[in-house]
Amino acid sequence: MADLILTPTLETIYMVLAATIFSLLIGFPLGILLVITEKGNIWEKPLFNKILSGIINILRSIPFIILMILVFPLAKLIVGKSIGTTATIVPLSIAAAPFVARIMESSIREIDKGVIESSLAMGASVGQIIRRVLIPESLPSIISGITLTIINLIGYSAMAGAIGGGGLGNLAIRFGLYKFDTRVMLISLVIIIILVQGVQIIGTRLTIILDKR
Amino acid sequence: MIKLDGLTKEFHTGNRKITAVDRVSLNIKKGEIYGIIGLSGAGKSTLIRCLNRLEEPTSGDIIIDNVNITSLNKENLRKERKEIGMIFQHFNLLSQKTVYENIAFPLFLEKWSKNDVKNRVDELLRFVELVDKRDAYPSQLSGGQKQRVAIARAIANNPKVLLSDEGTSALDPQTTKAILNLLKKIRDEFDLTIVMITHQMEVVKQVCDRVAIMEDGKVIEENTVENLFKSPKTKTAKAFISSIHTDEEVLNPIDFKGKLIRLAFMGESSKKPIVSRLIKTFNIDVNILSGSIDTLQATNVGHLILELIGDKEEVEKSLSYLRNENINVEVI
Repeated sequence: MADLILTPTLETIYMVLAATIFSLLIGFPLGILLVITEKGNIWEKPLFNKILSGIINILRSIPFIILMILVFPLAKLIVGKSIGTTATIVPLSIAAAPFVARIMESSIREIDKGVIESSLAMGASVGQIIRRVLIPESLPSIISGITLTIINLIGYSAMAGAIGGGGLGNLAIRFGLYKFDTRVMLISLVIIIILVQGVQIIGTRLTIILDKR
Repeated sequence: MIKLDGLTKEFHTGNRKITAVDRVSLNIKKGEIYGIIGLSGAGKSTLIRCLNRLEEPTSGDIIIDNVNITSLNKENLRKERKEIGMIFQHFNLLSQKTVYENIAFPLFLEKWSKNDVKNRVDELLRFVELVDKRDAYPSQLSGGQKQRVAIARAIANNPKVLLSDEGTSALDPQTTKAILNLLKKIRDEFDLTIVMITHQMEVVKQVCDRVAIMEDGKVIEENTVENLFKSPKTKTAKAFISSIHTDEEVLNPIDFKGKLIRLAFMGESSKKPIVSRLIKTFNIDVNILSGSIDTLQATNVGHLILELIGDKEEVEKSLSYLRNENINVEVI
């Protein structure tokens, strides 16, 4: 019984953590680019900005379940198979990346324009402003954005379980839906709730500790 | 030190063209505290932001310490900006960094060693009297303290010029005074050239050596602060000066029998017993309606509003006497 529950729980944590890291790696720089390339900002590239914003919107419009099927070939290319826990990380990352980009964009936008201006007046380069101003100044907001991303990914990962990914979602469907074992389904539901609550509590605490405003 | 030649900045919104700065030419000397005063919308903020090209000028030249700022490419502009410190109305400190880290910011940009940074920041903290706030965050500071941090940050790598964009406008009068004194101390100790934008005549009066008055993007009057106080030419200048003498506005010549005159005197003439000599020399009565003395950077300028009562000839004679005494006389 313990194994029955423990393995899918670990699988969920593994999928979510890996997808969080990859979606941050893709989405975080895109979020910064969305801000700094807009008109009047520190690295003005209006055309690039429009195209990037368009792509992100398109990716965000695709329902996750369809995205998963669409990226089957890509998953196969990257991890060698299109089904399973590790393979699911690919669509999860791709689904979360544009979301992360938008979250980062709005976090960075919260920074007072005057602060960026004073850094420019001090002779800071674009790279220095990103590293020393944009990221540290929006850090609390970034952390709460990451919290939101992780929680979203927990939900997505459960969905992925329905079509061949591992994890708690898979467990719930296998036992709850196919074997009418409500008990296992409820247990996996409770674990998902605990995971979400835990992430939210840690995220909120971190945000408060880090925020010096 | 700073030379502006035909500086112009236009903004385009839709089909409308707004000339925020209109052919401004100025010469600011080394070690001078130069004020630019104007009402909001006069273009003074745009002007000062052109000096380090936070705002790109449309045409004209800016030369600071023999460097033509307008012709610099991006990379060289960035280097030159390190020679031009700037403070702002809303301080613009990094909210997630301590006082120490804020002041260290420009030094880290220049890749100073940790030890050098520490020595320099500690020195600056002593200079702006914030040693005990070293590890505080901006949100824990008062407005005046925040501006002190901003000043320390602006002068950290020994710039040649300090720009102040309404640096005291968000502060109460007492704090304003303290900040202005700090700026004066910086000028005196480091021989910095300071350009300050303000809408407060009090600020100009307290620290500036020379002042330009801006209206509709143009500099309409420029003078030493003493001379401006003594004999303002434009209506706007007069309005700014009377803004710190609020009592004058209520005087209406129609309410008085005699002739109303406004005297402005400075330096030597302010020490003479003018009024008692007037009474003794001429057969007139003198009624003092208001008086004030403004303590400026270099000297004192006194203002007196008198009512001269007597026959016309005697009053005229007394007026020419006053003019001979090197006193600025204006009949109201």
